[in-house]
Amino acid sequence: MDSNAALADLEAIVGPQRVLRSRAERAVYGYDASVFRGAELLAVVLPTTAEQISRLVVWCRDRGVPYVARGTGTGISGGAIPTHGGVIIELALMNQVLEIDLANRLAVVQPGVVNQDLKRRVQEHGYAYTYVPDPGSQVVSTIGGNVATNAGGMHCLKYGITGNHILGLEMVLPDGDIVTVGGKAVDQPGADLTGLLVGSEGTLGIVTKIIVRLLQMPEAVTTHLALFKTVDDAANTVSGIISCGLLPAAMELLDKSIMQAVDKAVHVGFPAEAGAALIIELDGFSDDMARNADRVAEICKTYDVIAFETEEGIEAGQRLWLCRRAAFGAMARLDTDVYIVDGCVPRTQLPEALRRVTAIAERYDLPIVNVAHAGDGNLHPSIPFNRRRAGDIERVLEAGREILEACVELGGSITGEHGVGMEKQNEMTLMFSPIELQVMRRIKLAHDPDDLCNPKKIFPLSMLSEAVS
Amino acid sequence: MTPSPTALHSRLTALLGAENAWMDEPTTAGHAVASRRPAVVAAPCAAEQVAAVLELASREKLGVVPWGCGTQMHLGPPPAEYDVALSLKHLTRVLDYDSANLTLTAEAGVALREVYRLTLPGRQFLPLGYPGSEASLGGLLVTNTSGVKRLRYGGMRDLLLGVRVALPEGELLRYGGRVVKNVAGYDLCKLYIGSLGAFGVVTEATFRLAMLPEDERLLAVAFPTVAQGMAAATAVRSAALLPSTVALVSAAGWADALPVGLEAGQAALLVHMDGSHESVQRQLAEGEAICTSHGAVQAATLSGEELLTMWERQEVWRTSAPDPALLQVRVGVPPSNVETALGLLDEAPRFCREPVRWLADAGIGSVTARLPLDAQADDLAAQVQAWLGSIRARLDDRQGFAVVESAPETLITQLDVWGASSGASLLKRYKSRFDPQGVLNLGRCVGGL
Ligand SMILES: Cc1cc2nc3c(=O)[nH]c(=O)nc-3n(C[C@H](O)[C@H](O)[C@H](O)COP(=O)(O)OP(=O)(O)OC[C@H]3O[C@@H](n4cnc5c(N)ncnc54)[C@H](O)[C@@H]3O)c2cc1C
Ligand SMILES: Cc1cc2nc3c(=O)[nH]c(=O)nc-3n(C[C@H](O)[C@H](O)[C@H](O)COP(=O)(O)OP(=O)(O)OC[C@H]3O[C@@H](n4cnc5c(N)ncnc54)[C@H](O)[C@@H]3O)c2cc1C
Repeated sequence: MDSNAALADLEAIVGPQRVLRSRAERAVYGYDASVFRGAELLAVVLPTTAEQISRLVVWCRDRGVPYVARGTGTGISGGAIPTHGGVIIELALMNQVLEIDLANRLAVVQPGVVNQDLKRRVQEHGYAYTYVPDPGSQVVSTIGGNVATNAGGMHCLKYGITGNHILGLEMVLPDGDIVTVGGKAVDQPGADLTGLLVGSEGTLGIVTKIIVRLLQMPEAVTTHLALFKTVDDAANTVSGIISCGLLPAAMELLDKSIMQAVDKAVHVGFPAEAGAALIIELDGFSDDMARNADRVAEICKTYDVIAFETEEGIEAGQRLWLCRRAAFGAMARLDTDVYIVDGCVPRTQLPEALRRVTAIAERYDLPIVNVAHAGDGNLHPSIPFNRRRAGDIERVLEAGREILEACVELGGSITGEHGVGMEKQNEMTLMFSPIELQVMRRIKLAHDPDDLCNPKKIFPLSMLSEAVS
Repeated sequence: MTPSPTALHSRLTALLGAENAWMDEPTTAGHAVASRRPAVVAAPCAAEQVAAVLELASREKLGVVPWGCGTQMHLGPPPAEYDVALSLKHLTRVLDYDSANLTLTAEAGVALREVYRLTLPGRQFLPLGYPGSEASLGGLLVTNTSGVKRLRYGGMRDLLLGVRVALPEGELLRYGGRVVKNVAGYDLCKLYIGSLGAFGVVTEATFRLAMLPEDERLLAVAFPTVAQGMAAATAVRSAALLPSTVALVSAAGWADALPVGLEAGQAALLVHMDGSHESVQRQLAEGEAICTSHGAVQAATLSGEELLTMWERQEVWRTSAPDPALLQVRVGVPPSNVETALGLLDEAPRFCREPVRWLADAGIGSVTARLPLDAQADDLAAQVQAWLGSIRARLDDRQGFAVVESAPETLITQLDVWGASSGASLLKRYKSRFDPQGVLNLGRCVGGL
């Protein structure tokens, strides 16, 4: 292809300032927050409307050029990596909050709106509503990226994952059609297409508009930090709390290794005998708070809690949340890189899953540290490493795969919230039979028969190399 | 060439055993959909047998209609092809009830009331329907039916974790799983929600359960006008309360089941509260104060058995078999447009012989309306279709829609049951890849699939 002519075409669609073409710019977009890098790009384009995107994808289709939608590139499974070069469609300029409709408790946003910015905009209305989903990356990641990965966060136990908060979408399909699914009215007739398209990791089309649900802020919040001697005690406490009928907003677990790292980073001063920490957030009516907090404290005692602290209100709670929020930063100090695994198991299997992680860490001689969204059974064993050290990456990926095998064996999933992207393509065979994958692929082919829209992701490479029709 | 009924019966007998395939007159008549009857009724005993029946059907280009508990077979236009009624009545095993993880996996034919029976002792429940519901889990799933407490506990799309499905060409597959967070690949479970079986027969499903609240009560309040009831509903929704249901009922509805009396033109607001004793008491008090300030004429509180009975009456009213004298429509709108939707419905069209009866879920934005038909009306079908077209156009401006839930057969075949759907083009693409022969529920689903 004549690249100057191609760039001229792209400029004609999005405007001259909106095509990035320098070597440096193209190189930067070869990365995201994962350990992977992409192939050489033709260009990066920054469209401002769905119509421009429609023209872009048709242009790509007519020339067989692959393209990848990109939010802010915080994905950690390589979803936004341009594995086959082509064009990056970056959504940064489509960052308008189009509507905040409090009567219907919803907002309509463009995909490039940053999660935290939406929360801020909603709060500017001075009303007691919020957009709930809160992935750890919320200060930078986009709603479009969150939708594409069906992102999780700290408050999924009570409030669900991103998909539970999405009422409808506008999507540009790979043939240029612009479709709307779902809407401001719920339960539209026919299959739940919104639910199907959420989490499709940019492989079925490009999301150009999103209707999100807003929720009332809770009247009261208390935060508790409980320290235990063992991970088992902490995990049993989690199950105990749920089986007594309480539904905390969040329950986050840290093991000893990450507690030590956090202590070094932010000086919490955990006692030496503490082997696990649990952060529990309760919310609801003020009438219920004291009694529920007492019940939580009781259950913690049953499992030999060694320290228990309480803070009232969201602001004050931040002090106790600090040790969780500092975890990723603390990991970064352990080595030059960190590889975050994202397995999920039924909640009661969490202690067993963490035991297996420890065994795997020992076998591979890797310093694995653990944080977990314990209420959801979603574990994030994290492995510090150095990508320049020979053999490190291979060993880390191998250990990660074993952890995911263990999660599937325990009745869980290879990814609770980060997505498959290019990282776990081959692990898909741990969860799905060849025929299940082929049928799943029918959805991809119904949207994108030429496989140009974020191509060759999600499905195992062995399957993609076969001729498929 | 479609095999003769006798030939088909013997093929199905070979697959399922003689005790699970019938071609006698009473059985096939009992599985009629509108006036269409199947040649054979087949009742597989396992998912593998469901798949085998479908595989046979797609090889022979037969039309198959799945039957759950058969309570909503009138939904959608009658099937264009109907050779085999695939009854799921033998798929009634609960495969796993994991109370510690609050999940339940059961075969599609399990009735919701079985799930209640099993989970209530552990103070857990699946928040769809009411404890006596005869609907099957598979039927609820494919009709996208959520419970009256959806506002609090979420709908079908929030509660479903996994499915096992038999595809029209005989593949047997699992999607989703038993964990609450799972983003491995496309979420194909969602394709089956509301699908009416267009993409496969659900043989098994996994749901998340909820804990029963410590206390629950219903505040029922009568208002002199719909507008006042609606204003109170909006005020309740905007206050710092967390109701599980906020519904409005017209005087003409199933009002006799309510603890407050209603006269013509009046409406009752129903506010259901779940929670601790303290929070329920406080919400009741605040709810009542709001209603009083909006001109309530009478208020009563229900709890326990009485409360259950009231919801049961409501659901029986809403889901009862089609009546040749009634047209039932469901209107969906953003909650702030419920009042407008009720206004549209209350402009009773000429073919109505009595006032329209409705029940509006004001929290969710869903209205079920029953229009008593005037059988004498000239050209009834044309009148109804014209009315549907006009309310659809007006709802469209308010981001709403209307579907026909039940109508006499002579009428339903002449109506556009589902209306236009923006996702129809995608559904058609999927149908051609999942069911290229058009085996399942042909012509019954959204988009004319
Ligand atoms: C420190 C840190 C903490 C994190 N914590 C969490 C967490 O708690 N929970 C969690 O789930 N994730 C977490 N993540 C992962 C990541 O932030 C999420 O996956 C996020 O949703 C990605 O958003 P993004 O805008 O960065 O998307 P990108 O990384 O740019 O893209 C991700 C995928 O979405 C696709 N995509 C993006 N925009 C669109 C669009 N408009 N239309 C179609 N496809 C699109 C891309 O093609 C790609 O496949 C974390 C990441 C980091 C670095
Ligand atoms: C607006 C509305 C609200 C309702 N609210 C409630 C409620 O709150 N609680 C309640 O209990 N009920 C409610 N119902 C009734 C409920 O939808 C039905 O009772 C239930 O969905 C049907 O269950 P069934 O087993 O009788 O299905 P059937 O009537 O047997 O089947 C219904 C349709 O689904 C197909 N089908 C059935 N099973 C399968 C399967 N396993 N795989 C593929 N296709 C299948 C059939 O071919 C048919 O098209 C409501 C119905 C409507 C229309």
